[in-house]
Amino acid sequence: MEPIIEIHNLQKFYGKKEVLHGLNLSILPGQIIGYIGANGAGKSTTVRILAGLDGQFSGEVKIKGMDVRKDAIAIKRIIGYIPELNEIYEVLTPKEFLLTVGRLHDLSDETILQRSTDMLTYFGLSDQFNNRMDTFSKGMRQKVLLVSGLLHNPEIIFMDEPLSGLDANAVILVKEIIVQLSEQGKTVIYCSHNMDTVEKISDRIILIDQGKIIADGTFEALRRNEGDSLEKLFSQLTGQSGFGQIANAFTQSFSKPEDPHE
Amino acid sequence: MNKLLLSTISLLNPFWRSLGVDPHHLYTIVEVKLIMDGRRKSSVSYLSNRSNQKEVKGQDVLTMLAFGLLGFLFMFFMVALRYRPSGVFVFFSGFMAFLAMTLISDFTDVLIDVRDNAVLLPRPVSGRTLGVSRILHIFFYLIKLIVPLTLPALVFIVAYDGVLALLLFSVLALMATILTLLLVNLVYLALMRWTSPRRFKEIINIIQVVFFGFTFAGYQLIPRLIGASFGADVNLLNNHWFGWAPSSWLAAIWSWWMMGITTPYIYGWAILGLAMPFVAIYLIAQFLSKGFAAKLLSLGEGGNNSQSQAPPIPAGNPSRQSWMAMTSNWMCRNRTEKASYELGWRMTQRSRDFKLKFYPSMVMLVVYFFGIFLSGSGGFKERLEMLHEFPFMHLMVLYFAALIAMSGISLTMYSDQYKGMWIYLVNPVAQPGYLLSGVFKMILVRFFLPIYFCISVMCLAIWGVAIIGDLVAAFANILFLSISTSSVTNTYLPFSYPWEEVSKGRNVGLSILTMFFSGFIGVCHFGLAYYFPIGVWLMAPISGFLFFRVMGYYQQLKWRNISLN
Repeated sequence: MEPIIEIHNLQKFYGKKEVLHGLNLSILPGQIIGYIGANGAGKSTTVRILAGLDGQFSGEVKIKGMDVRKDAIAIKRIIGYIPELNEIYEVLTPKEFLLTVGRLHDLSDETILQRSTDMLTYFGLSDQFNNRMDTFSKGMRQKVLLVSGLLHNPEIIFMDEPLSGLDANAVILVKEIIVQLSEQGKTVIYCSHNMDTVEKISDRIILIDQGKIIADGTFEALRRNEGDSLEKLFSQLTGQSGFGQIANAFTQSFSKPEDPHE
Repeated sequence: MNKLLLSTISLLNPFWRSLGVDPHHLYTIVEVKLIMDGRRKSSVSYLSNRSNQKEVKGQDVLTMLAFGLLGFLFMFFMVALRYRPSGVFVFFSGFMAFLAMTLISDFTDVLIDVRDNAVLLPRPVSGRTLGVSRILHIFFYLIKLIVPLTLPALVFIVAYDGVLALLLFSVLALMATILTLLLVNLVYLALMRWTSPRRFKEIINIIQVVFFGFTFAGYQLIPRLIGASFGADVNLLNNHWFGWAPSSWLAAIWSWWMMGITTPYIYGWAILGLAMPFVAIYLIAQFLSKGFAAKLLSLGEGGNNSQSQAPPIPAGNPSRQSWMAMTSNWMCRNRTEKASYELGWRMTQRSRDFKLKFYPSMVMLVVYFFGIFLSGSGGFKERLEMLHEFPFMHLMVLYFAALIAMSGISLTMYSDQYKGMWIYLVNPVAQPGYLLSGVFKMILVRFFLPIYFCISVMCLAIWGVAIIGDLVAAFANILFLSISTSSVTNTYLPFSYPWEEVSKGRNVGLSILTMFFSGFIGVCHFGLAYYFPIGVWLMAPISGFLFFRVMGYYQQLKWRNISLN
């Protein structure tokens, strides 16, 4: 099977700091990829490059055989992106926001309205369709972002912390959606700090640390070699340990109380 | 200045303790409130493009100097009007109006900002300390306003009328401040009682824009009015209609106390001046302040995360198109342009920052227009005849509207939600030029066309149908001018830069080019109208043709031509 995403020797600098050190990666269609790493490891940077948000890099990045810089428009027609932060034109209503996004995909207004109404209804937001998003909670905005990323029925979906701020029921629903999208042959690249979710839904887990891939495989394969839970595996591979001692030192900070009023 | 004010808190530590207030907490809270005040942009600095992100050294001094300049202008009324009660009346009219506007436009953010509740309420700070800190904060804010506003007048009074007059004037200034505070308070309470939190904020926005217009008009008109009334010995208090203005009550106290005038009107007004503060306090305490804290809290939440405050946008009747949808169908060539047009329409409709930065330029046009009309002397008929003697003055007004269009276009690149611009990048937009042209057309339709229509009607009323050719030619010229300058300098995606970037002057090129180009085209227009009037009719089709050609080029801009944040 031909890989749907190919990355060769991907390097990225922020100023003089190298955040991606010659990344190499190949992803097959229909897979759910759990892309994990510590804060600042380079997950979001990789996804931003793949989604066409950042063109300043060296190396080769191809999606369905097309170069992300040369064939950006063709690639953007087949990808969906759900950003990490709740960054949105929040003075708009979900209807207005989704109309804007859908029109940029050349969808007809009827299709946009029908799909977005259906999708928001499944997320329990049917009564919020015409309310401005500046009054929404983080989770409600996240649901709108999820719909905006899926509205045009993309083949490849990049999700950067998609469960952020969602309530428990919505989390279950989104996890189920991801699994079913994969069953339909769609590829999902899923960035998260939630090890439990990644462990449960991913076909393949890629662990990035300081801009380098340090583990790659199914959860079972990684567990046989490294440990018994993804959380433990993550700590071991990223060289973090002794959390009990750190917590102890933290709480000891209070051992010398000082009252400024005295 | 802040250090000086804060040191007075420390000096009074025993007093605070006797009130049951923690001086240490009080100092800390007031200090941080003053620091935050320094980082807010005041209304007097609207015209400056300085970023409000950083604390500017000496900002306080600059603001006080601006107030001092205004105080100096107010003082000149007392120099110009020789009959002192008239001078006192005009001085306090300006003083109170300015103070009220400043309190509403600048201080509202402070008053309705209840975010400090989240910081302060979980801490061991007594309610009394919190209450005193709020009062002290307002008191310090007022001192920074009142001292520079009254200082020039106080110097004048002591020099011409003596120490007793100085004392009375100081007391009157204090009474004017209290009256203004109470009036502003009444306005607040009434608005909060009878409007929704969102509506309240919208009304405050309108007041802020009106305040800008008032200040701009004040700087334009006060010197003219002073010039017109210099040396006048008129007693303005003879006009009993002025009794409605609280400043006349203060002037009446002056007349009574300093000049011994005891007419019934003077008596009545003076008593009103002495009694009104107490009446207002009674009204506030008895009727309006009920539920004030709860309203204040809902107001603070209204702009953040409260579903209860969300006003639904009317879904609309599918068979009936909105004006926006109708015009976007007429004006836009494809779905990208349409998306951008409608996005721009909604963003400019709902962005507080956009309104606060753009609407003042429209107010300036109105003031400018009336400034031209008021610059002559005599009655309405005489002024109209004088304007007819300058048959090409309408061209100045018409081309001034070009600056407004360009100001609107240049502001569409900014938004406080600028990070939302990722939607342009992840979606398949092959020709980003349409994103720019969509917003460009939106500004023309939403702002420029109505303004130009109003100006045209007023110009026709003054100069008659003979100027129709000029109206058509200037319209086509402005369209050409706007698209030309935009295509050269405005290659930024809509709503993709934070407002702080305004200070970096990305659009200085656009402004300079627009001013130069509009001046040049205006002069060409004037030359043709003067020497070859039929040529004016030729300008319109030529400019119209050029407009569509350049628009075509603008729409075809590629990603490599776009300046990304």
